Amino acid sequence: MQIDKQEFLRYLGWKGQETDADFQEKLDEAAKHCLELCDARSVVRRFSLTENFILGGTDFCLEGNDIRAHLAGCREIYLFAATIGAGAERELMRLQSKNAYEALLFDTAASCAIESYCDDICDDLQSACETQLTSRFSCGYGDFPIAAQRDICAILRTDSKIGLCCDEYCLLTPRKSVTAIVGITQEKRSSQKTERACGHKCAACPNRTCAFRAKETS
Amino acid sequence: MNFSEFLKNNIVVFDGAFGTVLQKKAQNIGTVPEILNLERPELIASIHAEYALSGADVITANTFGANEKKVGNAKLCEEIIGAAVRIARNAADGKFVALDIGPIGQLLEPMGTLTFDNAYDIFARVVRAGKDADLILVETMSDLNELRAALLAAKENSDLPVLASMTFEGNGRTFMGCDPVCFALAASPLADAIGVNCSVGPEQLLPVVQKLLENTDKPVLVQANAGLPDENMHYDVSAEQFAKTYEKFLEMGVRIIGGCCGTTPEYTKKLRGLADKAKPCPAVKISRPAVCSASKAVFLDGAKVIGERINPTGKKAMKQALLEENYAYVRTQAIEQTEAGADILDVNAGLPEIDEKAALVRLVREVQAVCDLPLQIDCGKPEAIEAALRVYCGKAIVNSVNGEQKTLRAILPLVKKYGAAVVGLTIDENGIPKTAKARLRIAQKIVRACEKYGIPREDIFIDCLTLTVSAEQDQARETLEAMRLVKEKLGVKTVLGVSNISFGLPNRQIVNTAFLTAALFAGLDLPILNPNIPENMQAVAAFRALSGQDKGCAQYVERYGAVRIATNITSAAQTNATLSEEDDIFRLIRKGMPEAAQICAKLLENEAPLAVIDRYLIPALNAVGDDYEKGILFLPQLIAAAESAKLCFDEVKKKLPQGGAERGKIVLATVKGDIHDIGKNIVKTVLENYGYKVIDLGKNVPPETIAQTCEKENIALCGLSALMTTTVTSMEETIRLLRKRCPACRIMVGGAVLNPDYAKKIGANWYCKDANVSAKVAQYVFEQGEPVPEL
Repeated sequence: MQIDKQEFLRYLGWKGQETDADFQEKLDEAAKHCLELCDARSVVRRFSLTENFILGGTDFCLEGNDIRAHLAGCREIYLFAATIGAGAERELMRLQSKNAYEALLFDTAASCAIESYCDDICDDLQSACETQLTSRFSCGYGDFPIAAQRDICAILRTDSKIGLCCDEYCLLTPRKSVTAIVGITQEKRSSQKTERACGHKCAACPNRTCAFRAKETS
Repeated sequence: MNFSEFLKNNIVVFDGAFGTVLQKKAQNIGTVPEILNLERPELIASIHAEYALSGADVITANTFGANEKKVGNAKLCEEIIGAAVRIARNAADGKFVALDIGPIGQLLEPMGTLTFDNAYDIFARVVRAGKDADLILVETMSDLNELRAALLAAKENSDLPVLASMTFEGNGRTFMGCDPVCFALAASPLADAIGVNCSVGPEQLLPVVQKLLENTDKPVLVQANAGLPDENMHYDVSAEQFAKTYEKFLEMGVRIIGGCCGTTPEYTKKLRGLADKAKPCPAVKISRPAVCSASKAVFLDGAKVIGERINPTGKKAMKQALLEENYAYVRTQAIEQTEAGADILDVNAGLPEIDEKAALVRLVREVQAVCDLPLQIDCGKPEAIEAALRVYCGKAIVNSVNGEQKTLRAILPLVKKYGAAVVGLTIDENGIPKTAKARLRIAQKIVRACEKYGIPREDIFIDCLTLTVSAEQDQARETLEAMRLVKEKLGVKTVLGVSNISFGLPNRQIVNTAFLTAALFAGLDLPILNPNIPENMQAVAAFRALSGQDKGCAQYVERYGAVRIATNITSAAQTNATLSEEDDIFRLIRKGMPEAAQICAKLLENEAPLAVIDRYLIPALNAVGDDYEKGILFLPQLIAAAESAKLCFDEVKKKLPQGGAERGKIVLATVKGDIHDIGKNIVKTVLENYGYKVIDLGKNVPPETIAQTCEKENIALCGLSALMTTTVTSMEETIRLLRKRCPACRIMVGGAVLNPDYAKKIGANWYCKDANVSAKVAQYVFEQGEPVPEL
């Protein structure tokens, strides 16, 4: 898990503005502080996937065209949940009462941290798997409903396993957490390393006006 | 024989994992395995029977996740629980049956949205539905507050013995950061046994269990996992290895043993064998005074500072904050005192104009959310004290009782029930005695009364009371002498507010510091003082070094080794020698430098406060805002500038009557269902620094609260934020209600899921794509800026 400087800046809305050494130092401090407080944990389980997109041994059905398209051809999936923990969340609450600037930097650093942690999980899964894995797909991407988050947490027992809960409104707490599905395809593992961070997913995302959208590079 | 009697004379063996075995036997256990109690009772019974046969004394009913949030229906929950207890009873004749209560599966406030009262009600219904069990096991808890809600629900809705167990990680804490010492201190008074379950393998739990044993007077239980699972859910500690570690647990003094995830009847058999050979060891608790929050225990093994700032008495700003329900100010005070080195914080809501009970509860919650220091609940009203103790997550100090019988009778039972420590004031119906000996007599009476209620001596702190030296000069010595006597004769800890000593004298700090030092040497353990005054903390640090409490003066050197302490009193405005004339306020605000405040203070020497706002601060912020809009600056730079302007505003406010700099009142809220409030907080910072008074209602705010506040405060502009698609409907509902209740209030909205079209559709006046736009809208609404077209 790391906090990539470029990602950090992109999440902050940086588009090439001039910054000084003082600011760079603040960024580094925030990143270091955040990583110190991260207590990253995850739970991963492998499931078979029926033709009707039901996870084996459960009644949980994956709803939505986008997730189904994403998993086309997969007969198995990894279901995972990850969080950077309650310590970082508590610090964020504290900073929000103390100083908005520090809170903004810490919040952003924490977002980078959880994304990076998820990348690590996916890398590990890929290196242990003979066939190619799809990129991770989370609730709320496309038309895959946020409500599925509750089932994922229940199936993985995230509350007692990693201290991750899903509230009445299907939002994850602590906030800097992710649930996701990774498809296990039947294609041979590609030698190309998957791109890290979520920036690479921007092109596929329908939210064209998102402030964090990575620049199209084509 | 009932379970409590059995526990007195025996090592108790619990069964092992249920889920692990169930998973193997059932093809599909679904998301709520407890439903199988109704669908496949014979399967459930067969697992219980196997454990009974393996020698378990206690069979845990299949009710771990049977709460209405997980099951989705309270009525069904009751059926599931009733069935579970019946199945266990029938399957394991002659064994004790435990009602099993696991976490609700949602985080409590402030990190989540579930309220403490809501959690209590959920647990209470589970407890009542499981009334036919022999005992209640609350287990796998990670949040001490949720555990406390469950224990209170169990104790107040049933007479069954209650066991409390939390799950600890390799780092020795729970996921939520709870420490075993804090768990032991806070939960022991509310439970009949405490312990650990789930977690990691048994070997890693040894240090956690040792801490529990040393800090509780209750029997300790251990139900570890069989190590950690691999991807296929195979656990790595064999029954043999498992039992080896449990031998150590029994030697250490553990009284209740069992298994959690990954264990099977084979493990239970081994534990049965151990229990048959072992005899219960006597308790090994170390009696020592301590208080705690959920994550921090403070042992009172030397002078510890109680910060006094969160108390409206004699503090104008705090009084104002409580009257206006400005809890942001309270939180700032908590953070400041923590950073200044306080060990414990006092909270007091004693203002005749407000509902003290409600305000005290709110103070406890707000302070707990941003600070991990233990709290002293400073209040004389039993009802308010109890309400505060219920929501306080840890072991608190109750300040205070005194020598009056009536007070002792009303408050000591509460102190006992919640396991708090208590401050006894040496005053009674006849007032404060003039002599040290007479104060000692009152202290003796308080100690006797406490012990009658079962409050141990280490939890009693005596306050010998400070009187004003300018009015009653000989009383300073009597207070010191009384403290010395109380320590010598009663062996209790002492507490004292020191600053009253100098009332009416000039340069009060000189007298305060001297008295504080004298009091510490007379035996004061817990000075109540303002930790933000460096001289106070210096005196305490020096005392710790001089008295040998600070071994090798290590803490003193750490704290003061690298700083130069000014020996004369200076104010921030006078220390600006390093700034040159060219450092104008515009540049400093734009760069987000805190030094802007010093320049501002200088400007205020020659210019009127309002002129400084209009000529410097607003134009500086506007310039920053314009650059942000043009993309010359980006978000962190905008916020840094706003923070720097805020310091300038603070300088201006010092020169103005209360509220004199206010340019308009704005209500902000993150709507019901949404807990993502960073955007709202950024808007708040920017608006405040334009001089607007922001009433920040926080996150997850119900429409009714927003409408009510806007109505009551006659609000012209309300800002709403939502991040998730799921909560935009909640925003729409809020707008509808606002239109009905406050037709004159205009509404701006923002958040990642919104865009101008959507904002228009749900009836907002403005869509703000960022904080800068919200400032423009505000300036327009309050007739200070250019028009901003409505949607």
